[in-house]
Amino acid sequence: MLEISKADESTVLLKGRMDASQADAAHEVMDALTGTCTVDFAGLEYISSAGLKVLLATQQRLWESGGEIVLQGMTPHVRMVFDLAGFDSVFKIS
Amino acid sequence: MVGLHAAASFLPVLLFLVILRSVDPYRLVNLRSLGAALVGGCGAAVLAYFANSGVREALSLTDLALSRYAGPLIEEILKGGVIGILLWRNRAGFLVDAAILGFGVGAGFAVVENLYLITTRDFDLATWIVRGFGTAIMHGGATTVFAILTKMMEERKGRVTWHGLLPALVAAFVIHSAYNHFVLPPLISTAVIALSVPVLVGVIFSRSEAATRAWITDGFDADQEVIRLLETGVLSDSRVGEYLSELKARFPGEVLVDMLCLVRLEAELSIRAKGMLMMREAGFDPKPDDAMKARIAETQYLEDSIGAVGRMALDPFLRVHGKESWQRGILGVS
Repeated sequence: MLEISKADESTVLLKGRMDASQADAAHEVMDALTGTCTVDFAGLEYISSAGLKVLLATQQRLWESGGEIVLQGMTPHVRMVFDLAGFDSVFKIS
Repeated sequence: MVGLHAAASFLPVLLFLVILRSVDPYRLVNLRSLGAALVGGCGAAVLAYFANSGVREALSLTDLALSRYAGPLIEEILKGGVIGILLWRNRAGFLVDAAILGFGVGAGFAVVENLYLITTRDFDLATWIVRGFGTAIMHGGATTVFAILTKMMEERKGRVTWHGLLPALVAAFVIHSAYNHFVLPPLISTAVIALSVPVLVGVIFSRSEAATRAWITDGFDADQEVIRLLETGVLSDSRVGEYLSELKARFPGEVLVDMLCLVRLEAELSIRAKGMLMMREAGFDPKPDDAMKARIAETQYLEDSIGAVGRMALDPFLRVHGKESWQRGILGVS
C-alpha cells in the first residue's frame, strides 16, 4: 500500500510501497506538480520499476518547464538502486 | 541531373532507416551496430556482384533467370549471412532491433547496388524512383523479414543455427524473387512495396515494444530483489540461496565467494542497462558510464575464476547468453 500526502504545496511525502498496483495513484499526484518540488522518500519501503517510471516521466515533464523533482530521505537500499540504475544523473538527491 | 537521380535512388531507403531508428523509444540499436549493418550490407552487395557474374557464366543463365531466381537467392544468402553474424554477436535483443539491423543491411546493399548502376547506366528519373522507392525498400524489407524470422527462431531455440536460418531465407527469397518477376507494372510494384514494408515494420514495432517493456519491468524488479537479498543477508532463505548452499559441497569456498560476487555484479549491470532504457523511454539521453567498463572487466575476471563448470552451475541464475549478454551493449561498453 502506498500513502501519498502533501506536506506543503511543493513537498510530496511517500509512505509504503510504490509498485505497479500504486503507479496510477502516484501518477495522478505527480501530474499535478509544477515548478521545483521535493519528494520525500523517508517512509518509502520499496519502489519498483513502475514507480520509477512515474518519477522519470514527472521529472522529464518538469524539466521541460524549467522545474525539477528533488528527492530526499531515501533509505540506503533505495538510494543504491537509484545509483545502480544511473538515475542519480537525472535526479537531484539530497 | 545525376544528383537528382542519386537522391531518388539513395534517399528513400536511408530516410526510412533513420525514421525506423528514431521511432524506437528505447533506441535499442546504437550507431556502431547500425554502421556495422550498413557496412555489412555494402560488403554483401560487392560479393553479390562477383557471385552473380560467376554463377551466370558457370550455369550460362539468361538475364531473366538470373534476376528472378539465382540473383535473389545469392543476394538474400549474402545479406542473411550478415544478419546471422550480427545476431550471433548479440547485436539484437528484441524483434525491433533485429528489424532495424535487417533494414540497415538491406539499405547498405541497395546503396551500393544503386551506386554501381548510377555510374554504369543511364536510366531516366522514373526508373530511379522505382529503384529508390521500390527495389531499395524491397532489399531492406526482405532482409528485415529475414532478421525478424531469424530472431524469432533464436528466441524459441535459444541460439542461432545455420539450418535454422532456412525458413527465413526462403521467405526473403520469395519476396525478392516475386518483386523481380514484375507481375505488376513497376510503379504499382513500387507503391505496394513502399506501403507494405512500413506496415509490416509497424506491426513488429508494436508487438516488440510490449515485450521490451515487460522485460525491462520484470527484470528490473527481479534484479533489485537479488541485490536486496544479498544486502540484507537473507539470501540463504531464498531459492538462489538454497541452490548456492547445495553448491558448497562441490566448489571450494573462494570459488563460491566469486560466484556470489558474479551474481551481484550481473544484477548491478542488468539494473544499469534497464535503467538506461527506462530513462530513454522517458525522453532522457543517458550517457555511457566508464565505471561500467570496470564492472564488466570484473565479471570477466570472476567468470575466469569460477571456471566453466562453475559457470554452468550458475546458468540457472545467470542467463548471459542472450538478452543478458546483449544488454551490455546498451551500456555502451561492448
